[in-house]
Amino acid sequence: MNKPSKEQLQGFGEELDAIRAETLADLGQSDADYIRKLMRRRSYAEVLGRGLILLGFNPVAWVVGVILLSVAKILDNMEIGHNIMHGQYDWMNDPKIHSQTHDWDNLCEPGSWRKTHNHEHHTYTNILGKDRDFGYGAYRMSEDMEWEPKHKYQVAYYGLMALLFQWGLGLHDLEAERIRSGEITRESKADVYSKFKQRMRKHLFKEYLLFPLLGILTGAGFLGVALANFIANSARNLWGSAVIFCGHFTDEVHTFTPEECENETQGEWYYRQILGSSNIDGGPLMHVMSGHLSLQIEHHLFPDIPAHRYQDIAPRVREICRRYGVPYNTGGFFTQYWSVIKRLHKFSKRPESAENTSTEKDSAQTA
Amino acid sequence: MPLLTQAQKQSASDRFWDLGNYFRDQWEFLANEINPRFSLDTPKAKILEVVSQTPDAKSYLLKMPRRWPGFQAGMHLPVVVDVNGRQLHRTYTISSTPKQFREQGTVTITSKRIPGGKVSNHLFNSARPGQWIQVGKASGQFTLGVTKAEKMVFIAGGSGITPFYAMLKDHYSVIQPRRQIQLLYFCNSAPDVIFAKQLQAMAQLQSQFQLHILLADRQETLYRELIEDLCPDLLERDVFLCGPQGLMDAATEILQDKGLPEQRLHRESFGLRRATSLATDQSLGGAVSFTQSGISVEADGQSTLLELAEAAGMTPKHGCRAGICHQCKCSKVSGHVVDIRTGEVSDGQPQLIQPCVAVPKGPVSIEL
Repeated sequence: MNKPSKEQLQGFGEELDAIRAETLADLGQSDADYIRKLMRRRSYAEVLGRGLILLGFNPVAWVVGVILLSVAKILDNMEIGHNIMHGQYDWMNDPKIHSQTHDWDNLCEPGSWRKTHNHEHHTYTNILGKDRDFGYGAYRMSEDMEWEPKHKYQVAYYGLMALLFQWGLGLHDLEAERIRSGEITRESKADVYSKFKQRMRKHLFKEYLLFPLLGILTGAGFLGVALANFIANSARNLWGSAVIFCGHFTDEVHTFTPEECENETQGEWYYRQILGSSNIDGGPLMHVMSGHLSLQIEHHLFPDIPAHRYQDIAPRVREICRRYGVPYNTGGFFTQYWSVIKRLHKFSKRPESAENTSTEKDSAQTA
Repeated sequence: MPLLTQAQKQSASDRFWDLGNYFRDQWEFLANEINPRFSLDTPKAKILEVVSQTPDAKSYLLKMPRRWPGFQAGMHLPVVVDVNGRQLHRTYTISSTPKQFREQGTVTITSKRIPGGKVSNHLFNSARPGQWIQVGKASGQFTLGVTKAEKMVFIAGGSGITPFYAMLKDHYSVIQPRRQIQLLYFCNSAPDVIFAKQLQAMAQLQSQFQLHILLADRQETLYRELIEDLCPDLLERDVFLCGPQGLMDAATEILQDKGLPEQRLHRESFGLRRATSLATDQSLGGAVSFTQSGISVEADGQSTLLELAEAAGMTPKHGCRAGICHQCKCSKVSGHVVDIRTGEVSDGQPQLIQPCVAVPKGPVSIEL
């Protein structure tokens, strides 16, 4: 594939700018109604789900309760929390739906999320060394990353971390890999760590002590409720991590060096966002449950446009990409997910020319 | 009424067992589903009735939320209205009496639609009985409680009649009202007179109350003649003034010329009143950098930080835009700002500020 010329990318950027301007000008009641509707459904699912779990005497009710609570947590994190914290609904001027004040059912503190996700990941998408979301400092996902012995086990490690995804997010801003390497001090992250601990305590208390104790009163039993909560949290973790890994780590996704991205124009930025992201094919249910990260490409082009709009925008983006010869990476969920696992496996192996990669990285750091 | 103090609301404590925010959210959800009058964060009033007063003005009868604390005649009510998905904040004067609220739990607000006014036109065109409207605590200094004077003049223009109507109705509902009140009510034309019948009926019943409805164009000389002719004993009275800016300015000038002491003049000004020292201060303005959005702008010395942020395409959360509700509160990282209401200059340390009433003085860095 050849990179389009500077002139071509100029036109490419202008066409995407036009989509953005048109959509922003059209925002109004229907978008406000949409996000409020989703928030109501989330709350119904949570209240009913927890209620059914606490009913206790009926295994069917318990199973339905677990499913509802899982759906509530997934909606809360994906379509509601993630998108609101991107500022997609700030124009509504509703404090409950504003990026500065919204909170979510996740161990990751909103302020730290806005910094690591909105700023670092969305600005420096897939630039090695700048986008810490690329590999999360734990996985080797590209030839340009230095191989370390720990990478041998990264497929298994991924399996564990998928189950504990929210814990990984909560600790992401701690930048443990940079503390270990001595790049930053432990003290500089004391505030991040204390905020995390506070959220962790509240989370553990609510999910694994308070509601289970209520379960004793209602007859559902302590363990029945704790297990239900654990399943719901894990379901959200597994699903969230799968969707996010499909968004940036599929086989065809590109990576970039800081030098490539210096003095980037808007068109070049859009181009990098598209090459660095991949979509999941699916219907409206897939889109809503993934928080429209199934339309990851559109999300990376327009992170602050209300996500439900991506469904209308996607065919237009695809058509523009086709005309400019820009690859548009999409596929079914299982195809994409399988290619993520394959990629994890491929780069877990020690490269034959291990020395070369380390010298390349050194030169990149001095540059 | 927590509506306007949400930003100040204490977040749940650090204790692991304090899940106040979690349970509050569930309560808010259930309240809004079942009966929004019970909402704690966004208490809502139900519109019971909409009455046309003039071709441009309507009254809205509101069933107030639970725990709404009441008001004094002359106060105004903050409302939050959704217009095309956007929450807009306004305050409207209550035109009903505290008695009506005590007996029925209702208040009436009266608003005139203004050309280009987003909220007043939205209410005029779309408000229907059965709808809900978010309300806050009533407030205001424009009440009869501020003076012990027995004789007074009310000067009203257009929809500026609303606080006077509430005060008159309230005052003359007692058995032996002690105050003598003269109302000079300026209006463009007869159909524009709000509460015409009610005021005339009141004037017939109450000998202490004199009503002058003056239909005129807004010439300053005319105001002067009218006020002097109708009120020869002006200086013996307390004067209450509420209406369009032109009338307010002209009447204030006339009254000051005649030597009415400052403390006997009571003005209800809608919107922000700026400190006079700001108009001439050359040191205002400077480079503003918004740290979270990475945007930098040059301040002109007049626009507030909120206005500057909005002009730069940002959408910071905000409420009253007048320094009352603290909803827009954010952190200043460095630099000095001036409070436009008082002219007070902040120190250069990091602190929380209200961008809707802050003008930068030199370079500032704001966490938005």
